[in-house]
Amino acid sequence: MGRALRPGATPRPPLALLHPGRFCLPDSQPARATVARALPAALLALAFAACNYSFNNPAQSLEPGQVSGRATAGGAPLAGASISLRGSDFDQVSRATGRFSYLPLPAGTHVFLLRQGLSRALSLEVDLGFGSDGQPEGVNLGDQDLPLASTLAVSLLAISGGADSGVVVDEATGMAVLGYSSFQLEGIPVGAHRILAATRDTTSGDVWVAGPAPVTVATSEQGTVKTLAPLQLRAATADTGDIHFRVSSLVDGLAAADASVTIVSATGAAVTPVPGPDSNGDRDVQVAEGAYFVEVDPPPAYAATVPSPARRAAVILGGDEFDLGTFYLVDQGTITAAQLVCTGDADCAPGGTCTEGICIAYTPPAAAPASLPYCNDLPYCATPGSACDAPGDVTPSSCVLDPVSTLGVCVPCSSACTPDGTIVVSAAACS
Amino acid sequence: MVAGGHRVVAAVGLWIAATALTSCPYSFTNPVDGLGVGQISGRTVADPLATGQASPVGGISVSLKGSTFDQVTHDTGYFTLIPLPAGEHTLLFRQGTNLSLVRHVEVGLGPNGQPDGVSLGDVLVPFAGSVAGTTSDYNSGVVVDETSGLTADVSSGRFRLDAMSLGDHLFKVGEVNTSTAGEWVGGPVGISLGSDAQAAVTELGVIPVHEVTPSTGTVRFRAVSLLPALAPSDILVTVSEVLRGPLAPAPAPAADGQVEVALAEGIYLVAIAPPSAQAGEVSAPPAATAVVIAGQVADLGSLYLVPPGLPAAAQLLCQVAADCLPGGTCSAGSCLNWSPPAVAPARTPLCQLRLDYCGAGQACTTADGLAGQCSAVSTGPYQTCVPCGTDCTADGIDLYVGGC
Repeated sequence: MGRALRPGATPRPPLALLHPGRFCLPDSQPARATVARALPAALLALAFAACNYSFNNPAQSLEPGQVSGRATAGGAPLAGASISLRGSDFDQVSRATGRFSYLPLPAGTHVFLLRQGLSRALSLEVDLGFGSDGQPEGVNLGDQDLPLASTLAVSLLAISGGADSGVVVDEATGMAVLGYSSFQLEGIPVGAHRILAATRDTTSGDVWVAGPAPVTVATSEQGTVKTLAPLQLRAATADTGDIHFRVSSLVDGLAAADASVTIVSATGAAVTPVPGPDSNGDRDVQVAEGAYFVEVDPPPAYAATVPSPARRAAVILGGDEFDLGTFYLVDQGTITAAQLVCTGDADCAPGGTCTEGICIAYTPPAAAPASLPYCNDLPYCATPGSACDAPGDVTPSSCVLDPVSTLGVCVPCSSACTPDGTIVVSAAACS
Repeated sequence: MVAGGHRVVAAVGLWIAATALTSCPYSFTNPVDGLGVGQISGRTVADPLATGQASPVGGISVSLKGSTFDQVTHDTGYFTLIPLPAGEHTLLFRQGTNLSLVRHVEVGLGPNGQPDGVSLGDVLVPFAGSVAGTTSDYNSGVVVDETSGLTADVSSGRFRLDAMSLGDHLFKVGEVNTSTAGEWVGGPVGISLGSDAQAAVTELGVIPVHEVTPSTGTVRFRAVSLLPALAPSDILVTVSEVLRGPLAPAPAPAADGQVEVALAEGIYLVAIAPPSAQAGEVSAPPAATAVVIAGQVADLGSLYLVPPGLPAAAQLLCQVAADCLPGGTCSAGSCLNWSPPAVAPARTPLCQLRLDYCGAGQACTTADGLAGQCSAVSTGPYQTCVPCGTDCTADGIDLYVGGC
């Protein structure tokens, strides 16, 4: 992870990196030793002075709370890659140069998902600290090479009863898929993942849980399908665990505490009351074992300008904590403006120019957000245009046509999926 | 050289340090001091919720491989096996089907000629993985992991072993066609499961099998008696080939219990038993499966005869009151009013969950044509037919006995 200079700070010339004191010896040392040790330093300084050295610190030009970097594949700039701030609608697409930029983010830990179609994926955790002026620092992530994406194949094993249709969640990426017995999670980046599952008997309402399965996708496994050992379901108990999350507002005048938070269990029961944030803005909600869906919405006054982040699924086990990360409220203007940030004309190609750090006459390429599930991973349905039953979910779902596979997929109302990383297939807001 | 004033300061410092030490209620307890002869004990720690933090975990099955000596760790994670003779022993740890560990322990002889006690300290039981593969034909039979001694069915050339510990494994395959009296063997295939293999299925690929030949391999094991009055050389050994039946004469253990026998290629079941005079005094382990391949050694490790009361007595050993929770107390090193949690032994093979159409408790025929008893293990609406004379567990907790 790149660590940046505080905005406005003067970058040190290269020789300043060699602390002058390093070449001084204590007074008690013989003078000849001082001369002997100072000589190489002088020669080094001369060597540097003779070079036409130019040091351009990429962090120097960052704004407070700005996160920028360059998506690459095999070292070459990767244009058109989707980048999503996990837990938000703050999505963008890498420019022709591979460059991307997020602005302004508050101090804290943020997770970025980078994806190109079905083939490449990367998850990045970025810490933004406070600078000495009390402002969040900017971070230049440098080149971020996207490895080939993997697929996790998950099967649920129901012994001695138990429904085997429901939801499988990867806590690390936040990806959740609904299905029957066998699941697949595509677009999984290299790294550590934590897989949990929950199912529900639609007749009895009984709930089963499984996991966690701590899975590591090694670099050598990129681009492959990794099959998990079957996850054994067990009946959910009344033991409690925590749903942990935080709401952050990037909207002037909108306090995070004013956001509306709704938590619904897989049986359809609303969790009430949802406790407010602690002094750090974190929320811990204690609930019984099972699957839960968490939704964060802006207050009605902001509904037109601030989109609600996609709802997220959590599977809770007794004594465990499921970390949903941060839900962000970001106004559409900020999302659009960040997409236009540039450092040169090449960032605005084709056709645009970079004027005062903003792309003019430039339209970002179309790409589905990196946080969207793949349509292939969702259950199929027979009749596009009609209602369907998404297993393990209490939200009404709609059968929509996947134009790539030409099959119907069951998508929860007001949600979406992507068949190829570019097209977005959305379900209408069902009544 | 230290000046005189410095010497005084140093002396005063030493005096202060000595005074401070003697005034401290300092106590050092060497965990090995409290061990009995040939005792292996330790504390299981694990991270079952994958939070990155391991802590003592109870309810983990501990089995001495090749025996009926099974334990369950106390709530504190504490476990004890006693008394074991000098030599190498293999402990199997398992919780459900998620956590698994194979641990080899060497018990040495102390200066008094008695087996030393071994304190394993904290034993981290990591997440398990699965290993799957296919054979080069479509027959049925058995796959053996010589490291853990666990077996699984090969059905139509396909197998999967669940709850495999990370680390090294050695697999061999034996297949049988009873109608044609054909027999095939394959392997060995050695793999090492790294941390990337946890919670995942590692594919071995295709294991070539060949029809058995008269060429010989070796079966090696050590017959061990935990009954002092029963010498290893008096232990009875039976070696049966799956198609040809028991071998005659049966091999006899050496004075130290070692048995090494050359056998033609095939699938063998190796059993040990006490002489008739001591028949009721010890429990014999289930027969071990050995796949013999020409020029290879099938190492079964140790097979133990265990006095029936010994595991139960060892299970009650405690160090502190917390070892006997919930409800019990630790008195004179033994738990009172405490029952260990019921879980399947760590040596129990996992039930092969198939779509056997049978009624729970009734006689049935397995998919491989073996007589069995229909267990309550079910996947969805189907029951599982457990072959007669074998035990299995589906979830690592409940034990299903193919009693027939």
